[in-house]
Amino acid sequence: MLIRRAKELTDNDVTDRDLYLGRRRFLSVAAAALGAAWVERAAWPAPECGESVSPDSFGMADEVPNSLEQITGYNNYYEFSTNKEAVRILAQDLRINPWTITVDGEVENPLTLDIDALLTGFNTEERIYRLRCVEGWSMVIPWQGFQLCELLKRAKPTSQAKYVQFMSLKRSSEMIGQRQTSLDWPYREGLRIDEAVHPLTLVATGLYGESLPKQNGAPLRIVVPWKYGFKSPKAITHIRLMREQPTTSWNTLAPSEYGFYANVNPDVAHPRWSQRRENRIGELQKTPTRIFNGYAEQVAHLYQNLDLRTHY
Amino acid sequence: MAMPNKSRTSTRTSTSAHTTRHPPPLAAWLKGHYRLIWWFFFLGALFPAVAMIVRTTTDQLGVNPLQALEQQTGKWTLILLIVTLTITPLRRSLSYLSKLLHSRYGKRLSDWNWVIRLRRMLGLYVFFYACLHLGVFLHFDISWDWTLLNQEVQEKPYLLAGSVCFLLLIPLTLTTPIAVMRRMGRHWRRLHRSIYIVAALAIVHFLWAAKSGDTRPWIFAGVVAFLLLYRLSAYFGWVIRKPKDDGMEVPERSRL
Repeated sequence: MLIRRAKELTDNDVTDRDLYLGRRRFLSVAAAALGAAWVERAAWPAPECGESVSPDSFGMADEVPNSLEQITGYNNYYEFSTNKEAVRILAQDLRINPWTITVDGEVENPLTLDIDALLTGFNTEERIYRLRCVEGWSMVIPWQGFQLCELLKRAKPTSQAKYVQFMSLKRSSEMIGQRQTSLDWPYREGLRIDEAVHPLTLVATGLYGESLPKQNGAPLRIVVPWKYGFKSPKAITHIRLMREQPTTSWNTLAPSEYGFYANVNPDVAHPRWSQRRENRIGELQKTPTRIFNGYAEQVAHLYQNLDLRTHY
Repeated sequence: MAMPNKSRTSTRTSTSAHTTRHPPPLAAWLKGHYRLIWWFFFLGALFPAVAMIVRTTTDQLGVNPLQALEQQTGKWTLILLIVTLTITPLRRSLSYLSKLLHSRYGKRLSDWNWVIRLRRMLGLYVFFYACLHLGVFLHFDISWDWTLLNQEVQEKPYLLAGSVCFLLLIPLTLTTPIAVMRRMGRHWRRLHRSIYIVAALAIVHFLWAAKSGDTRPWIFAGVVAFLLLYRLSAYFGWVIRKPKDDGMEVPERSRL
């Protein structure tokens, strides 16, 4: 019969009395250290903005941009109409001068820039991007603009800035679609800070070499090419850096249909529109949709620890 | 009863000639030109399909031709369904109005029963446009990928509603021939009442497929709700008194 004897306890097994009495202090210090490390990781990840990106580096070399008629004649812009082919006409009544853009919130240097200062104060470059609408259609658009990172950098975000909120214009006298309460106006969108400073995230001020047409979001809009189009707000007036995740218009209206992240993902279904395939404007036959709208190489690392099926 | 229409027409003309100096009322003229009216409706219902084909081949469907084709075929299916469902209330209310306005001509001049004979052709057009609608979806949208179709139907309630609609239309279409109608007797009417389910489901399909803020489906929903409420009301005798003639007379069946 085998009888096991308990292991003899030694001094090594006894916690030092000072440590034992200081255990709560130890926990709080450890938590603070971990917390600080996390904040540092999450906040303001781009002291320097990325280099400009050449089209070839994200697989746009073989893409043919849609025609100007297509890009300016088919616009999802609820501020004017839910009819995408009526926006071209209705948006012309919008006055875009004067216009100011404010950057505030968790920043050391809040800014209010006049649109002319904004248009001349940044070096714009051409970016040919795919645009994938949540409604299942897509286009290829040659934007002009600059990285959002460059604008945010001037406002000097604090280490507390973890999210960015965008607010579009509310002016129902000219934006007649705002007389409908289809959405809670003004239109609001948001990004995580690391998404906002990603080199692909653009402040678009032009299209096909001309200033941005009104139906495409003049005088300036955000373009986030790996997310569904509604994450790229038009005619923005306010950018606010925030500690908490901001509320966003479509997410508030139908959280089950429109997530905060809204990354283009053929594996997350929408109750109305097929996300597996897309209708490329100019082609009658639908084609398969790619994860992150084909920008996985550039952005997939942002979501390494995120379950994209629950954080859609 | 070999040629009921001809004998009725001759009675009408002789009656009006003898008893009144007024010209024959519109009702009588329309009834007398049934073939003309049939062709008018036949070509009218065909026109949207022809227009769509012309627009597709000449690239006039707007920026997003696929969406235009899907929406227009769906819209015309629904419009023709509404027209088909209007036949019975129209016939009843016209008969009622005629009786009210021309009571001195007696019942014969308030005979609008011929209207119901347009219903078969219009009903077949509903199926025709439903086939176009489904065909455009299967060919351009999902490229005949049955696995994909299965996944999409399971994920999207609007596709489930649309599929049920289409499946319900098949038996209605197959029982169109007069011979089948006669053989089925009262079961034919029972079967064809499922068109009310089709109409309700088609509206649900449209509402679920449309994006928020789009008011178009509600217009169709209102019209279909009115037409279905009319039936309910007639059935239970709420507003419309249940007529002695229950409005379900089918001329094709009495041709023998």
